[in-house]
Amino acid sequence: MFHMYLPIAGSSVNIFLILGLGGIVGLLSGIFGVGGGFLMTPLLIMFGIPPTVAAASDSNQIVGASTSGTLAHYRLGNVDMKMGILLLIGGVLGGTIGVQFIKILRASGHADFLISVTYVIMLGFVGSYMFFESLQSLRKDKVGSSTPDSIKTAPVEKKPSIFGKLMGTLPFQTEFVKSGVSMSALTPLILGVFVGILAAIMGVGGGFIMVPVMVYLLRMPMHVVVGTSLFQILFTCINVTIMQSYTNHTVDFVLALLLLLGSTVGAQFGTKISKRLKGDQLKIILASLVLLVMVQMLFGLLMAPTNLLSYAGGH
Amino acid sequence: MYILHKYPKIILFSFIVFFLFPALSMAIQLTPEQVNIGTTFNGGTITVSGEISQDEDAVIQIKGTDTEAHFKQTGKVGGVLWMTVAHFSLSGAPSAYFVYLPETISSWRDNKDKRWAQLDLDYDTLQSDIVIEPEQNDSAVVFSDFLKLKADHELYQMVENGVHYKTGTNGQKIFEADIHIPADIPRETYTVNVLKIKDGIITGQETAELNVQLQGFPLFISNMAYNKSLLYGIISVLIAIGAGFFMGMVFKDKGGAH
Repeated sequence: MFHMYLPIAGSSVNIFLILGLGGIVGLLSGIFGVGGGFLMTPLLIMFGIPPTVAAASDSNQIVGASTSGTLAHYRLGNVDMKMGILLLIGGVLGGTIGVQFIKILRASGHADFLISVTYVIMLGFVGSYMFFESLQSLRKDKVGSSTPDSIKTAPVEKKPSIFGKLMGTLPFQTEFVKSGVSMSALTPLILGVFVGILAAIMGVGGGFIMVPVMVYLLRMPMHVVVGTSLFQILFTCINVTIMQSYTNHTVDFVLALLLLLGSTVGAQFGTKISKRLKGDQLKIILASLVLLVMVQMLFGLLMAPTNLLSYAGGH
Repeated sequence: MYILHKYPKIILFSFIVFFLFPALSMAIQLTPEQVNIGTTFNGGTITVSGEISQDEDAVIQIKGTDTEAHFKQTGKVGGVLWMTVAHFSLSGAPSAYFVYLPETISSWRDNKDKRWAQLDLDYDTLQSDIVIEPEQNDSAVVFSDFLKLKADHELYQMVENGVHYKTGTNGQKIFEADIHIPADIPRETYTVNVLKIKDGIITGQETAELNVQLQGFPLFISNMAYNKSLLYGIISVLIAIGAGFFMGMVFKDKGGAH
C-alpha cells in the first residue's frame, strides 16, 4: 500500500523508509556540509536498489538537499563564494584526472584493493585526527572558561605549518573575506584537484574529505566550511546527475524525488542544529561519523559476505 | 460461408479437436492476462489455469529472455581481507525462471526420484547454456552464487505444491497455480509453459506469453529517461533545485533555519 515503483531501478520501495532515509542524510548534510553519498548509496544498495542507479539517483537527491542547505547557510553568511568556486574548478579538474587514473588501475587489476585500502586509511586518518584535535580544543576551552580572567593569557598565534609556508610563497595572493583568511588563489585550486582525484578514485562526492581540507589546510572557520562545502557539492552533483542521465540512464527520478522530500527538510533542521553547536562540537561529531563509516568498511573487509557474487557498478 | 466452402476439412477437424477431444486442447488461462506496472506496484500474482486428463500432472514453467548481466566476485585476499577479486559478464541464463510443481512431482524432487531428473526442470539444466566471460576457473561456484542471488530477488523460484487441482468437466481436472510476481521482475515478455506429465514423461506442452509492462507515470518517466535523456537529466536537476528552494522558503517563513 505504501510502496512506490521505481521505473529506472526496476524495483519497489516503501515510501516512508526512503523519506526517512532522505531525512536522516539531509540532516547530516545540513549539520556537517557533507553530501552524504558515502552513507546513502550503501544504504540504498542494501534495500535492493541496483548500485549504479543508487549512486546516480543519490547525486540528484544531493542537488536538492545541498540547494536547501546552501540557501539556509547563505542567509547565515556562511558561504564563501570565491573559495567555493576555486575549490569547485579544482575538483572538476581533479575528478577528470582521477577517472583516467582509475581506468589505468582497473586495467592493472589492483583497483579494488587500492580503493578499499585508500578508503579505510583515509577515513581512519581524517576521523582520528579530527576527533583528537577537536577533543583537545574542547578541553582547552573548558579549562579556559574555568580560569579567572586575571590569569588568562592573550591567545597565542598559531605557528604556520610547512604546508602554510609553502603555500605562502605562491603567487596570486588574495583575501577571502567570508573565511577571514588570506592566501594564494592557487591553494584552494590545488587542494580542489587533490580532493577531486581522491573522490574519483573512491567513487564518492568528496564532501567528507573536503571538509577536513578546508578546516585544517585552508584554516577556514567551521561554520563557513559547512556552507561553502554545500555550495561546492551542489554544482558537483548537478554535473554528475546530468552526465549520468545522459550517458548511463541511471538516474531514477522517482527515487530521487522521495529522497529529496526527506533530505530537503532534514537539511533545514540540520542547519538549525549546526547553528547551535560550536565548531569543535561539530568537528567531533563529524569525526565520530567518519570513524563509524571506517569501522563499518573495515568489518566489510574482514567479514565474509553472505553471497560472494553481486551486481557490478556503483561505489 | 466462403470459409466453409473453401476449407470444409479444416473446419471439421477443428470441431472434433475442440468439442470431442477437449483434453488435446489444453488452453492456458492467465488471470490477469498481463502484468501492468503502475505507480504503486509492489509485485503481484498471476493465476495460471487450464484442464488436463485425470491421469496427468501439470507443471508450470515460466522463463524470461536470456540477458547479459555484469557481476563482481568477492574473494579473500592475503588470507585476511574480503574484496572484489573478479569482474565478469554472465549470459545465456533467463532473466527469471519459475517452476511450479504439483504435490506428486514435488515428492519426486524431495526424494531425488530419477523421474524428477528426467524432466530436466531443475536449475542445473540452465548451467549448460551459461557463458561466463572472461572464463572463470570456479564456474560451478559462480553458478551456485548466481542462483542464490536470483533467488534472493525472487527471480528464480522452484515452488513445491504450487499447482492445485479441482474437478473439471468431461472427466477432466482443472489445474491452477498462483504465480508470485516479484516487484523486481524485469519488464519483458515471458514464456509460460504448461507441461503435461504422465509416468515421469512430458507428454504434451502448451505455451502462452505473459507481458510485463509499465503503464502510467512509471512509463512516462522511463520513456523520458531513455528517449530524451539530456532533457530528463536537466529537468531532474531543476526539480531538485526547485524543491531545495521551496523548502528553504517554507523554513524561512516559519523561521526554522534562523
